[in-house]
Amino acid sequence: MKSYMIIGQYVPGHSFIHRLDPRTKLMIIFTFVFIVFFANNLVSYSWLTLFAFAAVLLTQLRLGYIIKGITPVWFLIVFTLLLHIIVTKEGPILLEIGSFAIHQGGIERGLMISWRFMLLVLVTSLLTLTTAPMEITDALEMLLGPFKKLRIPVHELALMMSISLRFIPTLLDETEKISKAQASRGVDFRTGSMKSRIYAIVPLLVPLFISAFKRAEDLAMAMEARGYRGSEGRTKLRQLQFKRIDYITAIVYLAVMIMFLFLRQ
Amino acid sequence: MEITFKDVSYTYQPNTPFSHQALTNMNLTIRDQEFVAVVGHTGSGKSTLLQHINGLLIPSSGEVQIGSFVLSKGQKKQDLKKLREKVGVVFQYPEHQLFEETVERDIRFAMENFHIPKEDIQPRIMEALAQVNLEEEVLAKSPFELSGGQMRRVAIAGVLAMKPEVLILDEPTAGLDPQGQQAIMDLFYRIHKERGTTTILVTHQMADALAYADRIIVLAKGSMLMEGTPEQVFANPDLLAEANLDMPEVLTLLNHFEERFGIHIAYQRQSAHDLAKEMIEKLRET
Repeated sequence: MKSYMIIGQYVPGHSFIHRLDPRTKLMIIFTFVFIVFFANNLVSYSWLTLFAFAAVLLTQLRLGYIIKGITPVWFLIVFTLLLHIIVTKEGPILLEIGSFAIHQGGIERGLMISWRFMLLVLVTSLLTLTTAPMEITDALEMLLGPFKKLRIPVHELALMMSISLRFIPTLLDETEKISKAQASRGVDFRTGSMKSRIYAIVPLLVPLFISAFKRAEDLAMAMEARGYRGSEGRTKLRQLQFKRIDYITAIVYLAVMIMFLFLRQ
Repeated sequence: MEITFKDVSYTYQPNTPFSHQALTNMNLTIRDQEFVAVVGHTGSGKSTLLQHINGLLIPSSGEVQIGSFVLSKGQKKQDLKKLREKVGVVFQYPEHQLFEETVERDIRFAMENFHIPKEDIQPRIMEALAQVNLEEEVLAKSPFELSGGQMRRVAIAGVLAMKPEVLILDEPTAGLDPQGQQAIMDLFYRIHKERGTTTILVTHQMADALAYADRIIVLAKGSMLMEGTPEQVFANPDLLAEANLDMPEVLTLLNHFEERFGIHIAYQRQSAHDLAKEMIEKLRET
């Protein structure tokens, strides 16, 4: 069951990318997501792809593992490709079957869009693969800090996010345990009609919710007992600090992006 | 039912950076109607071992045979439900598996899944309830109104009502008070004797292994370190220490007693009370 759950799961390590400040990674990926949409020719796409693969190499993770991690998205990528090939009616006709025609424009468009999609998924999965969830929330909290002035409860939102992230593995473990216990009592999650399979989920969901509520209560109690009162006057054990590799990365990234502006049409 | 492990290895999350081999070339036989205790430190592969016995895990290599069922990787998909009906499992904190609106329906749940004839269900519920020493009134209550100890008894009743031929107990007494622990262990031992249930107890408590088991299997790092009768296993304190396990308190006491007074008292599953008496008598004689 667990083996499906590797989409972007954090893999501890000491590579260059692992050591970057999470804020650097977050900002780079955030801007990259926008910039990908400005690529409009083969050269600019290749340039971004080169950048993405350089980043992949720097993580020192096995490429096969990363590719496997984005498997669930493959379906979406292929689907987009097909959709564009069928719908777009531009350029010379390549193939005609009855009233249905495939245009060259459709193939070009489809390839471009799915390429874009792949780049997005690949780069964003690098963030979660190399950054511990807690680091990501810390970075988000700091980057969104200015919004506190607008009375947006940034700290509380970040706390909610880190608590949810913290409990994902716990709840997954719990789900596995309960589903095994119920399987031992003769519940069959895998076969049978749709209806019986939906009913089979009830013995899984009820205990899961009960334990989630119980955990939430315990956690709230433990936090209060230790004097938690929200963000005011609260300091952090791990202060994020930009280091030399972050400045170097930022400069290189900027250079890559300026180059990209020249390469696009 | 006899249970045989042949060269069984199991790896969690193979081909990922998280892959972890939990069992390595495990070979063991558990005879029909035997009471076996499996002991080992956290992460020694105990839980993995027992999940193979009712088909929750299929060996990565090797094969497990339970009665006439054979589980191995190449094996065609078979009806695991038939196997699970015969192998009851009491998991750690079994009260976490309760979900029904009433106690009665929760006890009934497994029997309905296994298609036990309708007329048999009610008598079995009553029998199981009596075995775990609960009053009839709880049947109509929601399991979530009960105390922790009572919830555990309800969950155990649900497994006992299946009348399994093999009973797997994964630390069934964890988190109970001492009287509760004793009562639950006595219950399982009685069922083992009365019904001839093959029983496999996973435990941290050496005292339980010593008191109830015909045979003890000591696991360390996914392999079998030692096996034998409690007498044989506990005659090997060094090997036990290697597996990070303690001697049962009773045996430690008797050893100290022998060192101090030079009197040997054999441990024959006496109660603490009888043992104290025996000690006093032996001391008077000298």
